[in-house]
Amino acid sequence: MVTVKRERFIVFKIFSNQAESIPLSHIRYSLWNKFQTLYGLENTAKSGMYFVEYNENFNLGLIRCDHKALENILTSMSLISKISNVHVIVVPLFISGLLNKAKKHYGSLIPNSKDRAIPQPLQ
Amino acid sequence: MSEIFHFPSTIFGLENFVIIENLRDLPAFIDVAKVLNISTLVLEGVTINERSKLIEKYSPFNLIQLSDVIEEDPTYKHVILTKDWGRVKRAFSNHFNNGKLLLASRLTLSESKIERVKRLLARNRNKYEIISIRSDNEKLLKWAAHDRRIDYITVDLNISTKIIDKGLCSLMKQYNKQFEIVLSPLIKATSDRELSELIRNGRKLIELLKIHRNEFILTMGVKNPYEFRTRAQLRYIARIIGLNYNSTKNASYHFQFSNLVKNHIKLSSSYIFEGVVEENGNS
Repeated sequence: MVTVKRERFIVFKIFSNQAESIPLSHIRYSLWNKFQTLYGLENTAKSGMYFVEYNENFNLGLIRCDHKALENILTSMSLISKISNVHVIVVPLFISGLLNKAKKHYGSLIPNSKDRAIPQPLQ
Repeated sequence: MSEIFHFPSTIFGLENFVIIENLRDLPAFIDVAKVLNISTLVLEGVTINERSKLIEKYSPFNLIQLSDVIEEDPTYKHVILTKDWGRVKRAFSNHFNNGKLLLASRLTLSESKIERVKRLLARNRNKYEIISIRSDNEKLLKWAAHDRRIDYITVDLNISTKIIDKGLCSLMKQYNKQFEIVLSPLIKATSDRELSELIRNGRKLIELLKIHRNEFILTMGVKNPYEFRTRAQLRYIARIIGLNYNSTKNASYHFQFSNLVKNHIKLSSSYIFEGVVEENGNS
């Protein structure tokens, strides 16, 4: 039987009560930890989750995952309330199956960013 | 939350249970709610009169109350009979798109004696738009299920949900009343053991509600501005207590919104009860 795995890209933003940015390592730990608590090690391994982009200045990130794990990741994100003792809200802003489209949206959320224009492939 | 951020979605949220200990903190709650596109806050323990004063006091925040929108068009008052909720929702959305935030009032009665609840209801029903009840007394909840003055029975997942039984569920169904499920304990759980207990309680409750086809609403029970969650996030959180994302569409907005509007119209002096026909004296 052929099983098709499709990619999903999630653009998310973290709102916190402190002005300083939250390091990627802390976010990664919290999200993996929450996912593992809820869905176990096996599903965590199957989720295919990794951080494609993260902008510390704007607390804005882009995650890749498998389409089957999408809802579980969104649930885990919603349940994160603290990252290294700082109150946070992790809000998914945009979901797409195309990396380019997700990157375009991610870029549009960063003022004066080079990511706004996606580089065209060389001919 | 100093930066100005515009949420890309036009889907507005509603938080049905906001507990603010000191009303001076209200601006912090409003800031976070606006960032997350939560356009309606139902404030616990704030009466309708106090709410009007709050709106005046914090006028730079663009706050509105239900009467501001419903009195724009007299036909909005007939929504209870016509059930044309789309039109009323659009009227509110126009205000929300202009950056306005709706404040409403509610009261949660935490009592264990029926007589005391009766007294409190008589005293408070006209002062609040929403009244809910939270109790560990089985008899009291069954009495509350058929009392028209009570809008919701509030259920906390961290307290044993055994009190909700088949009898109460069928009574709630019979009288078209909704359970209010408070989800904030799920994000506040400090240990895995606590979280698993909450999930177990939640799943048992939801199984029972599904069997009896009861209606329910989802709320966070916000005590801290960072406990706010968007409308979609509420539905995702509800997934872990056994609710399918697609089955919670009404539970995250429509029921709360319609109850608020209905109660506001019923509390106004010009409300004509169902079954009563208005006749012109000259005819």
